[in-house]
Amino acid sequence: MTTRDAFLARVRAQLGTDADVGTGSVAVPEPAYVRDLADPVVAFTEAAQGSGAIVRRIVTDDDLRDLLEETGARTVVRTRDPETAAVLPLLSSVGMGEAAFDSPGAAAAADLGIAGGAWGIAATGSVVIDAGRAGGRSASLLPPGVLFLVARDRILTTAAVLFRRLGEHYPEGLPSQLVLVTGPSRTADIELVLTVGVHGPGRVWIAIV
Amino acid sequence: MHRVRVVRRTSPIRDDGDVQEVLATTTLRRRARGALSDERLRRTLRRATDRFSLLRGVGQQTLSNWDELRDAGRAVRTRVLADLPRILERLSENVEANGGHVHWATTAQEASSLVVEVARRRGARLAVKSKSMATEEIALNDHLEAAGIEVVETDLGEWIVQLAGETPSHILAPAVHRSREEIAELFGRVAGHAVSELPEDLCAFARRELRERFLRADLGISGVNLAVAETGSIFIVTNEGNGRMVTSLPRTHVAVMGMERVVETWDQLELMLALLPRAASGQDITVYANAMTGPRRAGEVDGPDEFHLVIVDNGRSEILGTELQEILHCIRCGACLNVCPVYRQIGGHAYGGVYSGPVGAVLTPLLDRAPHAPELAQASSLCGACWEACPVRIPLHDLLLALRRREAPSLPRAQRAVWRAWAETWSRPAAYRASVRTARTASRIVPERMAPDAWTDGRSLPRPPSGPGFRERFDRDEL
Repeated sequence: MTTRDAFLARVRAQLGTDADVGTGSVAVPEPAYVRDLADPVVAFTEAAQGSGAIVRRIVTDDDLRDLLEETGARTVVRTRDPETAAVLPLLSSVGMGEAAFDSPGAAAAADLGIAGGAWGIAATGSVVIDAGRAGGRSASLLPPGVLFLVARDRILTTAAVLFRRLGEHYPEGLPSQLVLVTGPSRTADIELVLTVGVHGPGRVWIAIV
Repeated sequence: MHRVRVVRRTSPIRDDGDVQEVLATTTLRRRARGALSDERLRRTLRRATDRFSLLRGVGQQTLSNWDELRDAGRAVRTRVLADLPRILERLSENVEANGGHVHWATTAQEASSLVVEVARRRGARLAVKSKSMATEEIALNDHLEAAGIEVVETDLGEWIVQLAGETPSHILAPAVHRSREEIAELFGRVAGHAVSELPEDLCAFARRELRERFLRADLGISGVNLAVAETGSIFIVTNEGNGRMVTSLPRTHVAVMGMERVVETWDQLELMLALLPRAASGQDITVYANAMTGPRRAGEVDGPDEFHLVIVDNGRSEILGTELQEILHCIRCGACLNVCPVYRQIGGHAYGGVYSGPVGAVLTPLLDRAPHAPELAQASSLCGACWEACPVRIPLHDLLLALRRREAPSLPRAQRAVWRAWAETWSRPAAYRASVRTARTASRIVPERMAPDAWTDGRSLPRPPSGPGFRERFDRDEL
């Protein structure tokens, strides 16, 4: 077995010691979007819909109740993201039962996963999910549909804004998994025909709360 | 002239699926002829490569500073490679600080053995895999299967080619050479009964079948699009979600990465994330862009208990410090395949290796010592379309030329003298003109067709103009 030191010594020897490595960091420009991102909520909504998600702005409990009904789900699993608490008082009134999210099997058996977005990304319509905050990964992955609840004041313009401040947002270190989710699971592997829901959820709803 | 037997399947050269075997026993010329005689393959290739190229164009237009980002991408990759030992050291320290394990593999054999060892120690019976070129390169599936571990590819296209006993033909669309009818036939064998040929039905079938395996698997194997040294994270992009499955559901996750697939900081990662999906498929971002930092934490419902990162050299360090170093800048987007006039005609299998297209024509001869590997550098017209498409501006045509120089046989002394004399003559205006006058006279008596060999086949000698030539007319002020 190769040890780290032997491995790196070989790489060093091959690169040569005279290579001018420099000390400063390379300037990295941020992507400049042609689209207007001045109103992140509007831009987020447009981009998320463009990716195939259904986006609703939620003002009242009735808005959220309508959205839950729209999903047609009977059984739901819920992450422990704080946003998901809003659905609790409404579930029984729309005839939904909640299964405890305590295993991937429970998530796989549910019709709908309900998860909170740690952030929204306006430029791409992405919802950022955080496995630590959510308490797990599979609730937003295994059911055929997923509902993300995203707070409007957590919608950032671009991923660059988030990635350049990860240290501030996560002073204790990064969560075990951080995923940008953009629309339903999709593939074009069969004759280049776009098909949704091949592995992950085929239907994605986003509630901006 | 030698004739090749044309096999009426899309995989005339893929009987055993063993990459090394193909490059050892068949020539590029033979494989290309097989592909060129397959009308359906060529039609499919045209459709796929045109589609991806079109999408790439659209994707770039969502940004106003695409070319600036490409320049920065090249600068970042240059810097990372120049400082690779320190950055890899930083990566490994951070992975370990997060509770992960790091393994270093000098050879492909060693890399596969390391993964098999982890699988054995964890008592794994079933491994699920997401798409990874690095694991193809080290022939990991063969090693795992030899150790009695079942391996299932879970990217839809990869699963299809696995069922067909083939290897991927395109980095983004591995099964692009297969029709829906053929896929339905392959799935029918799994199901034990006939299945519908509709793409959505085929996808639904794959979802059910693979879902069961995701939940049962005890080992998840992924590649790494890029690792981020400053936090010890690995980053994977997928559209299907299988990348999230294999890294979230089994109790052990092993990620295999080529040692150059790393950046140091998150702003560098963000840059690569802006370049990669746009260059690959024109998407602003993939459906899932997944950063993992260590194994599952206390209180989390799922996620692997153990995380292993295998860092593979397998010939890469020998490329460092040479004129070919820039090939290690590649972020595997596939853009160069889609624009390459050679790839567009012959497809991925004709390259005979894991990597195809212009990047494969450079990388395969460098990583694979098989007898016929070096000739892959000939599979290019040197038009530079790959370089124009590359999101990190790798001058692939220069690298191909450099490889050809390495492999070129040393010419006999007399022949070298002739070429040198020609170069000398045409470096002087007076001598050049004299030689052109001589050539004009000579070409009236030399036949248009040259003595037949591989190079002159399809080429003819230029004929002299019937009237005065360019220089004469220029001197007479006629232009």
